[in-house]
Amino acid sequence: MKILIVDDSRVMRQIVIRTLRQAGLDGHDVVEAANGREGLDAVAQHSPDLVLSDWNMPEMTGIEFLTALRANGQQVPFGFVTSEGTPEMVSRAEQGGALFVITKPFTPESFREQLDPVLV
Amino acid sequence: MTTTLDLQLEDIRVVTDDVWTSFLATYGPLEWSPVTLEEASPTDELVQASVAIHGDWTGTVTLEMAPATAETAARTMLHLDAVEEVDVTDALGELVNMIGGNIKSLLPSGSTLGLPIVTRAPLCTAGASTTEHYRVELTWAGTPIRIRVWSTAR
Repeated sequence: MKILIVDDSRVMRQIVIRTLRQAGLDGHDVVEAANGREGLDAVAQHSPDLVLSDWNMPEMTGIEFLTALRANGQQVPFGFVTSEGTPEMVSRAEQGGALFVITKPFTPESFREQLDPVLV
Repeated sequence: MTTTLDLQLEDIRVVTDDVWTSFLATYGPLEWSPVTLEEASPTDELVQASVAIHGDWTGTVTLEMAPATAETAARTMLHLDAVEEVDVTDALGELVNMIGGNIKSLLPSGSTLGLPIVTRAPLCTAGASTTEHYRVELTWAGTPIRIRVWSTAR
């Protein structure tokens, strides 16, 4: 299975990769992108099975990225990993087609809880 | 309408502690500091990471620490023995992003979070349009860190 991790912070991308491993969700191929625009290119090039995206990024935000994906007919499972987990943003994420929102800071347990149903 | 900020210092400490516990617990927990950052590190320049919040209330959340502490944070988050300056900037930016994002969640809905900025000299300081409202002085593994919440006049 291939997972695309989109975050403008390389530090956070590494933490997400590490947390996937700690959650017992290793063994998947990982692709990285630094913003939504690079994420769009990465989806087209690598056809990931899951996208984990930050919300607030330069060039193209996470919600803009998700909107563009769905507008292109791309139905790849998508979840946000973001520092902003307000009910308003969760609602926006769900309306945009995201399956879940994981709030930073997160734990391996929160990853397992949200990703297990998706990565079956 | 301008919203009056209604936070407790403990709210800020808990938010910061959650971030530290998740990603920086290796060197121990955060504790209240009996001295200010300048008193604890009088000869060190400070690294300041800041992130703006825009909405009914507009302001900035800053995270400050000595350069050596910032490097320790980056090494800890990346699980590396040595890091570059770009990694330190990245790590501190992400820390203030998480602290600021969670503080934003305590505010009335409708606020937006900016992108973090990290500087070697304080970018956010008291001035004609910027007022410090909250200051939390903490220690992490014996080194001081400080979180401040500033409001910006519109």
